[in-house]
Amino acid sequence: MHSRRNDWLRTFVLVVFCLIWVAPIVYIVRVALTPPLSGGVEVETALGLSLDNFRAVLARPELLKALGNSLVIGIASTIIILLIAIPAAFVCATHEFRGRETIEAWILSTRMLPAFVVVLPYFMLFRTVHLLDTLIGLIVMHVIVSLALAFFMLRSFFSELPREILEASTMEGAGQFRTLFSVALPQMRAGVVATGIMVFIFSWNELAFAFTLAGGAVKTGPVAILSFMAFQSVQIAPLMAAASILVAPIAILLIVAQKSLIRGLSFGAVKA
Amino acid sequence: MSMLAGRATGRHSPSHLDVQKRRITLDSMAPGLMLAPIIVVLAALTLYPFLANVWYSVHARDLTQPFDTGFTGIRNYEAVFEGGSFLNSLLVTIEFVVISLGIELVLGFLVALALWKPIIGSRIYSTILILPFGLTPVALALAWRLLFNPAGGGINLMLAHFGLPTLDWTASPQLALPSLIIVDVWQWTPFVTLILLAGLVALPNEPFEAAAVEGAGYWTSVLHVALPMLRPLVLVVILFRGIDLFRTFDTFWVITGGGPGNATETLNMLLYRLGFQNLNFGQASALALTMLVIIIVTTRPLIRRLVARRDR
Repeated sequence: MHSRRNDWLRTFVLVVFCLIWVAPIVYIVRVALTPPLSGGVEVETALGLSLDNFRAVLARPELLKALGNSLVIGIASTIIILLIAIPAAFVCATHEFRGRETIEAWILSTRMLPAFVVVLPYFMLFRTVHLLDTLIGLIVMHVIVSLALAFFMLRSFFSELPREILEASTMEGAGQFRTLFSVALPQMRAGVVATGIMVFIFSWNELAFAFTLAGGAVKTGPVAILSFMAFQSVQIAPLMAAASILVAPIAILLIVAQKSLIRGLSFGAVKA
Repeated sequence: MSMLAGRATGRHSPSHLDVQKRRITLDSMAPGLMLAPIIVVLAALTLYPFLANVWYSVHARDLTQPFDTGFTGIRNYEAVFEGGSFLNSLLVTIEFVVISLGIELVLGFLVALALWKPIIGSRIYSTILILPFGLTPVALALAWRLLFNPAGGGINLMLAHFGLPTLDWTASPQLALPSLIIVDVWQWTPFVTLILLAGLVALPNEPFEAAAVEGAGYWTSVLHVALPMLRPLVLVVILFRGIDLFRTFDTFWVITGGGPGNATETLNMLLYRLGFQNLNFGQASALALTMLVIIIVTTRPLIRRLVARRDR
């Protein structure tokens, strides 16, 4: 069952699939690096490497401003989500009480809603309270994007803490809040950071909310790229340069926190 | 979910910190205080949209006719179901969800098998695997849009290079949906692989040894020993992937926009069109509620099976 021929076959399968999986990503970077004036659709045939497309894209203020918006929205919504999800995850992971499963199912249900089911009412609400096309509006909406992800990820980290230290803390008379903040949290700094990174990535990548509830004065990175496409429909090289810039920070975060990605996306069901 | 975590590692058990002391103090209210914020947010993010959708769906809310906002009963629902749009979208959605999910499960499992036992370079493979579904979908969808371009896009250039006939891909009503299925399979098969791989790695050795003693070959032990033990994880994948496929927006919006015609107009894209292109929020809300009913009805048996505990 474990032969050398088998290993070759497995390596072959893996190499083929990984080539397919990186090909479009390599394509983005390769097109972005083509020298200007070869920017027709048949850009693949052009040779040579140049950073001119990156310079051209970065010289325009729109993309940088959009990336700045994405950064602000991502950081703010991550902080809000962590503040809300950490205590809730702590309680659900360490206490057995009536209604716990109902609350968890309720949290899970936010992961099942199609974005526009939520967007429609909030569009009407934001229109009346003048939050359409604002940073605050998007920060609020991005809380829904990963609240469930953060809760279940943190919950799985909390349930891995050795119970003895939590019980010892309670025995010594520390209150719940002290147990959480001075005993539990310091033990799982890595888990909180990993959760924060995941939440930030999902905010950065989000399109549907950013596109319908904002997109005029306040554009996020993905929205800016789409409007960039509308203007530059022929020049794909600068477009791919912009896409590379949008993706680069996420690629770094993903590689740093790759193990948490699976834990987050499977809601703590898988602790890869 | 709690039991999912338990099954995956087999060492989750709820503790009973709160039985230690019961005093009427701030401390005894701590769990409630800690849960209060998330409950408020959940209400705002689920109850409000639900109630508002119900309200809009029985009222005229056509933003192009701002003064006509009266009660309309079920007229919005009738308008959604009349004509072929809803039925077309329902069929497109079913086709997209079922075919993509099937391919992703089979392909994802095969690649997970290839990664199962230690192999040189497994870290590099795993890193590459996270990129398709971790990187910003809009950027990747843009790349696919260019690759699929019938006139000189990367895929047709490659086909021509090998002397194969070129295809119209996203420009043809027959191939547009298969093109999007290709993109989704490309993007999400690695996710299925990594989840199933985590499950495979955690499996105990004894059943396989027992099977080997009985003379079972590789595929027999995979199909009759590994697969049954992975069932809970396969259900997780079906549930999460199924829901995400149902809600997919980014790739559709960037690559086809629902076209050509309405060949790739899923329910989600139809919802977008009714709400944000036709600006008819009444009809859009009626469709949104219909979609909620579809989600609840189809996921209920799965969720129930996931939540049902073995020890009860």
